[in-house]
Amino acid sequence: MDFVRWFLENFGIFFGSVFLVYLFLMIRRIIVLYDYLRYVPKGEEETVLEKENFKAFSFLGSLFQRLEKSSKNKETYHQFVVDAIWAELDCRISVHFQAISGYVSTLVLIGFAGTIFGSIGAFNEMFQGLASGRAAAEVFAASWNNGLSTALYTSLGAAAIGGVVLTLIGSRFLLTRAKRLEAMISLRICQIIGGEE
Amino acid sequence: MKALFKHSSGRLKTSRIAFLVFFVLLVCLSFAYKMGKSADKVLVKIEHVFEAEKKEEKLKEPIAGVNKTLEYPVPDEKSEIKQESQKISHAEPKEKPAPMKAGKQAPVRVAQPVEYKVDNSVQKPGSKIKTEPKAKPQSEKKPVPKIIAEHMANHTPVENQAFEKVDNNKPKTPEKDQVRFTMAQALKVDLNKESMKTKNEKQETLKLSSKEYFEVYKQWQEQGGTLDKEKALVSLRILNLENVYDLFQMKAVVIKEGVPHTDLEDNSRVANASLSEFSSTCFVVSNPWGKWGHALKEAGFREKDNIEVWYYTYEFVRNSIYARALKAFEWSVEKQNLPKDTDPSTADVLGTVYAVNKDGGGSFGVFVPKRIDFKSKLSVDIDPLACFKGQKDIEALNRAGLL
Repeated sequence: MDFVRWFLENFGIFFGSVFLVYLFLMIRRIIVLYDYLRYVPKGEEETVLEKENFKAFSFLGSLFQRLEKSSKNKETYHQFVVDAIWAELDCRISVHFQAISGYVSTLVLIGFAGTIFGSIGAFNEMFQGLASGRAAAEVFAASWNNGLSTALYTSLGAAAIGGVVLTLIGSRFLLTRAKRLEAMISLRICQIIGGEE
Repeated sequence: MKALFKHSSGRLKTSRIAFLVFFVLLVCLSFAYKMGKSADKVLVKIEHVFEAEKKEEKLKEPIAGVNKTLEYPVPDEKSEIKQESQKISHAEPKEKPAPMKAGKQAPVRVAQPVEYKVDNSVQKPGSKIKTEPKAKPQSEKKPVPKIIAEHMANHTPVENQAFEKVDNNKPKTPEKDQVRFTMAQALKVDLNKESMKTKNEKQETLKLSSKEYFEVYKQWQEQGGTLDKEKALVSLRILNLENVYDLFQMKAVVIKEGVPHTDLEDNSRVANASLSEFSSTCFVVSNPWGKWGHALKEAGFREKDNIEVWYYTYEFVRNSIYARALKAFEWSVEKQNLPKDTDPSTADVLGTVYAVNKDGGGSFGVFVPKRIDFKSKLSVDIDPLACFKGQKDIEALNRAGLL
């Protein structure tokens, strides 16, 4: 593929590969989040209190059953079950948000490293070219091939990918649904502990 | 299909979907990348390949034709005219055709594109013209550049001039002789990675210390002063000139319908007055679309346009190049035990140009003859070290392993 070849040529083999791997990892995390959050209602007019909408937190089904049981039996340890529910929610949802934020931060640092690395090569080529009296166009071309492209493209790539991903996770499709899911779980816990059906 | 991306529990198979999304993203970016690339550029590349093949095929026949006519040369009436007018006065363009109305004489073409089959070579003294019946209709049928056409219209017929030359046994000292160029691709600087791998890396380039550089430069310039301007000149074929023409302070100019039109370095319109500093000797690119096709298209020319590409050069540079060529000719005459009065115009010098760079900046070009082809089909390989003994640039090129 022309684009991949262009990408690896201009970002450099190392930085290009790292960028592609990070891109894949971020896509995977976003899809995992989507898998958990796709049943959470997104419209503002819809209520989160619909009893039928248990599908959104079906992955917490066994813990809710446990909470119901302990609540009915008036057992004193039901608070621990509630803690377990929130811990499980963190485990399934929040960690992915944190991971994606971590990838973005790391990618920015990698982009910065690529800029420094590329600049070193480009300046080295420039100084050598100037010292040997080569033509300006030739020196510029050699600098571009020996680091300048990596320096500029890694910065641009990190900024672009980071910006897109941060926008995506901050959008109502992910973060809003995650917060709404928390609200739904809170209400469900209240329903169970309060004895409502 | 559902089972491909979903578990039985209803959860998505996230890794598979992630791979799919990643692949689709790359495909989309590839499309965007291709769309972002200039379609014109793609077309240029394709056309360029086909044109180059066509040009090569075209060239084969005319070159054979040229060789044939070189065996039976007719005098260069332009050279004759130039010579005569020079004897009278440099500023007197009386005998010259004036296709360019800028006060300055029109540069006389020193090389004709082989497609035109116009022979500028000079009649050898005492030899009989055998090609009169063939040469005349040939020159009439072929498309002739404007300058040549005007020469023919304004002056005595070629055949008559030839006989005059033979009868009077005049020394033939054409100011402008025939030069043919064989050039590779035109230099192109593009930010595309592949094309950015500069051709200069492959160029014939010599690096010298500051002291050596100035010695070589001085010697190269002084060499031009040794040129005997009364002597007939040899034909030239120069390789690699397209890569270093700027180091010879040459200017690449498009000649449209016989008139200087566009400077190929910046695509600006050329005013005749701006060329007044240059020598009246110009080097003509034999296959402009093959060598300057990209630049010509960028400048807005089309292949059907009646154009040529000329290198305008300064007199001292031209003299240095010809001094080397004549020196090589004399050396080959001596080496082959040819008659000492062998006419230089019967020889064709093939040479290469090299870039000489100075540590810390600065560069210029030098011309090194490599081979001489005589009309008698004798070819003599030049030994630069023996031929140009004492020339520092030759010694330095040899030390650098470039010769």
